[in-house]
Amino acid sequence: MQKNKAVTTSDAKSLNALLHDVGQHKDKDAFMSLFDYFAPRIKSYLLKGGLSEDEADELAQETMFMVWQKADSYAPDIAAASTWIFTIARNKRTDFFRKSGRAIVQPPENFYDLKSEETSPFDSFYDQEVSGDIDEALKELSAEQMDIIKKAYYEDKPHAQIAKETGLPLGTVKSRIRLAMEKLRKALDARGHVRADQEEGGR
Amino acid sequence: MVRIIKTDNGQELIFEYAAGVLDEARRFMIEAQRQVNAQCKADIDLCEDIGGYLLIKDCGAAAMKPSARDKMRALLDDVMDDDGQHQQTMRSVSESQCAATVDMLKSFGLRGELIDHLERSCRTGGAQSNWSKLTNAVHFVNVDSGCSKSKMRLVRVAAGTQIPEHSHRSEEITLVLKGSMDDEFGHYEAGDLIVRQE
Repeated sequence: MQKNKAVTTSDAKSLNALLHDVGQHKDKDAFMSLFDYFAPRIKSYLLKGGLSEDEADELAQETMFMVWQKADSYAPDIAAASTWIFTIARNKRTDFFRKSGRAIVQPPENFYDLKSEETSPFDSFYDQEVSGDIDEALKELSAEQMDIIKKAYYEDKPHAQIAKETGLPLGTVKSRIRLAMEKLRKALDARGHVRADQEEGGR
Repeated sequence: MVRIIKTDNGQELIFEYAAGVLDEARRFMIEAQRQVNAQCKADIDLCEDIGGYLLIKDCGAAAMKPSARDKMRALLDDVMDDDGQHQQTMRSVSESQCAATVDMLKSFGLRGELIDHLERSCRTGGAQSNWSKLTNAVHFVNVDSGCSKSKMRLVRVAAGTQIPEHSHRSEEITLVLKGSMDDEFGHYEAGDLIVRQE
């Protein structure tokens, strides 16, 4: 993976600031830094959802192009760049499966263990941006709860299908997710985690 | 006989919405609820924050094709000059014949892509985009659910009146956009989501 040599670790802007620059100034260098960071992660997310290598590569590019097109609507005080870009990737994936009408491929069992194949000097810098609150809150989940949450996010399957594939009763799948979300909400509340738009009462 | 299976403002649907596993029709319902219900919005925000977290911290990174970077940069170069023209095209959309319906929905707090979809649905729906009378007090208009297995309609009920008793062959999801309503199971205010199944 090539890196944008114009940006160094010491002066690297935060992901949120880079996305803001793309939106406000159509800054191509800022966008390419985002591309270098996010495109491989989006591709990995799509592969976990059952897309082929070529499909995932293509859709990751389409996702990033949409990031470019819609960046002017991004507000860094409302959502993290990672959240905003995740929602675009998620919607792209949903549209892909809807349009193709294709059955979803089960990813290999060890796919959840996939970690970065490549690292860059920016990765650790950017990783620090991820909300520490959420990081801490997620640690409070049991392994079973975390596993179900990941299955739901990565595999593009409704709860009923997860239940069928895991052999767990549907009620167990639903209750694990519900309890996990309640635990997360409480943990975040305890940390005073409030997004700016929630304080103002609307995005 | 109608049985309510969830009256918890659709917590499960909210999670499935954020994870991206809902069909179009349910997605529209939850997106609409997000726009009119602060708690729903907060719940979705939390779920999407988790999605963003997983994307960065858990997904890993799969190498893009070697040509991907150059392809993207070339694409940017191409569209930079076209952006102004594109914006112009977007603005020149013809006046909608169902502006009143869209304005009404906007007044309920709906916005963004959801409103765009509803407006497009109204504009291309022909006779289907007109309000039809079910009874003197109940009118409805069909909108594109985006999903062949589901139907979606806006229903306007005059204050203090009743919807005729009816049944459905499968799941029915209702989002109260304005006012309030009661049924044999409870009282619902604007922003409440009711999921029923036969």
